[in-house]
Amino acid sequence: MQLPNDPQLLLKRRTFLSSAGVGLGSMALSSLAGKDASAAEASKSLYPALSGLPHFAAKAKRVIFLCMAGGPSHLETFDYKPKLEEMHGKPMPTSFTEGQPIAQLQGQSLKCQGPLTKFKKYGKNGQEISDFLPYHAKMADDICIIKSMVTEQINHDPAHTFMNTGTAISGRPSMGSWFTYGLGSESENLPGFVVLTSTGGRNPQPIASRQWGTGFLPSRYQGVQFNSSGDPVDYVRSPKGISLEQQKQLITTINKLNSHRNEKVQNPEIATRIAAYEMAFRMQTSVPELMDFSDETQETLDMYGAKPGDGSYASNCLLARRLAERDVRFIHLYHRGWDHHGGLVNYMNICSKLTDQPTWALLTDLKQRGMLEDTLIVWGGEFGRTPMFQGKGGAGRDHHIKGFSMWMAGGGIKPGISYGATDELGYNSVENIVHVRDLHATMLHQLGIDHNRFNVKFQGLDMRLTGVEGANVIKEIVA
Amino acid sequence: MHWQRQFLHPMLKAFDAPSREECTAQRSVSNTPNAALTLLNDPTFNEAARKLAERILEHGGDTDDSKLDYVFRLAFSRVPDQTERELLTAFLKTNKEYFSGDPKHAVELLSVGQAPVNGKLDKTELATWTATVRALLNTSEAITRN
Repeated sequence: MQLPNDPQLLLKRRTFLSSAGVGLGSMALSSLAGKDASAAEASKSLYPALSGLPHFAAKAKRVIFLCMAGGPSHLETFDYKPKLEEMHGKPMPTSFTEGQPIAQLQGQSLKCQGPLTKFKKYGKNGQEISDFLPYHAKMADDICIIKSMVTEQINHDPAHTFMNTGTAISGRPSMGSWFTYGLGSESENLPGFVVLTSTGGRNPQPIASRQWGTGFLPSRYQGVQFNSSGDPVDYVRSPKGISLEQQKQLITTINKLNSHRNEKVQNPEIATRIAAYEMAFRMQTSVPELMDFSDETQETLDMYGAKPGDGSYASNCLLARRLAERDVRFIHLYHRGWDHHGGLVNYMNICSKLTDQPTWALLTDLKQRGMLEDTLIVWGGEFGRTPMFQGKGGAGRDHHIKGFSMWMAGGGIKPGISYGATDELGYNSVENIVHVRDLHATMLHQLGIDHNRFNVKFQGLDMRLTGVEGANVIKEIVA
Repeated sequence: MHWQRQFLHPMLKAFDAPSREECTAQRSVSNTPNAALTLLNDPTFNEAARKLAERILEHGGDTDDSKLDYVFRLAFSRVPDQTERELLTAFLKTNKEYFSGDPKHAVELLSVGQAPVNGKLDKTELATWTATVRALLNTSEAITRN
């Protein structure tokens, strides 16, 4: 029996209709994109920049986002509230809490919980930093502390989704995907968006791979998670008996078969797969080299407190610097362990011990190498914690979204300042309020993108990272 | 497939499988270099390629063309077109040279996985076809339904 060769003959009516839709759509798209598409194809890079981007001269080339997953307490890190200390043990005034979203403290009597540590002032401008973070104290003159963050989601997963995509609706692109999609990646041998996770502290909350998904952007811009212990990427070695040259020939043949197939079926996922296989081959040599810390001095390893291959936040910070050196566009670290509903002092000690020094080391190391000026570092959780007491095993705090702290450094952000403020009890952001969308707008701005002009058409809407409700670049913190 | 919550199987992780720590209404599309590396280099897939190569040598007829027809029907429910035939014939040729150049390579590749090797088959020939099946099973057409 002779089987038909032409896949068109194999198409059923329904498949035909749906693929015809895509086909017409992609014809329209490519004629709209016109020159852009061919320019992109001409580029050697697997992750070319969109034409017309950046919109203006960028201050920063890359982002390192240090996500303290679980939600660190602003009241024990950067936001000192003497009034809360005074009110300790007294009922929280209902004028603050009435009608407000509450997570686990629902239906319970709300009492004030004073700061569980001491604060001191550091640096030229007297930045207030808690005793939990002695290494942050050393970089008081390098970081810009934003004390007036607000978000819209009070539970971990949707709050991460909100922080990453600007909305709580699942399925939108993560900011790392947006940046890589817009600006491309200059790294020839590594993905443009890399994710690393570590754990340590109280009740590590799950982080789903959705958090680095591309949503409606092409799937090649999806974050690639590296293992933080063992081999960073599984299966980077060819099977036994296959030389690198043979492997290269294999991948060339696979890609030729795929592009030949794609001439007929025109599926953008095949184009992504061709890019993925090309990158996979490059990673077979670049990843072992990336992970080989033998070219780091003992001094550097000690500075981070990193033991190669231990999967710690410290090792991830060192890896982040190595990724930054290799021109990876967006490096996203998650440290899971900041969900301090109870035993806050104990767990703050644990989390601070694991993250404080390595964070300082990363910033200092980048600075020493002259890379801090074009690397934007962002530190923070998905939300903050309540001024009210929660007692799940010793004093702790519940989730809180109306006011919390984050910091930014490098990449053209004014160093050594604090911006914004919460009220006297640390409940509501009241001065120079910074919404997550404003944070995104500012990050985009530092990388040369006007967030209002960075749209992608999807389902009849002009989608953007900063949404439609309006967002502002925080001009006051831009150097 | 073995599932363990605390340690996700590396292959599943490469395809962004949920950790099962929470519900997942919709899986994210996973089309990454990590997934490519898994399909290329995970012993499971290389073992599968070898077993399919054994079938080709046993049932695929005497010529390269008839073998290609046979494996295309199994993998894609169609026969190769002219371009595919030329690409794969060239690929077969260089692989045959590679594996007959150093018999150690063939022995090593065939040792991947736990399934016993069909000892009746010529090792160079089997390694050459194993390599070819690796190429076919890594195409989009083989990996996805669409």
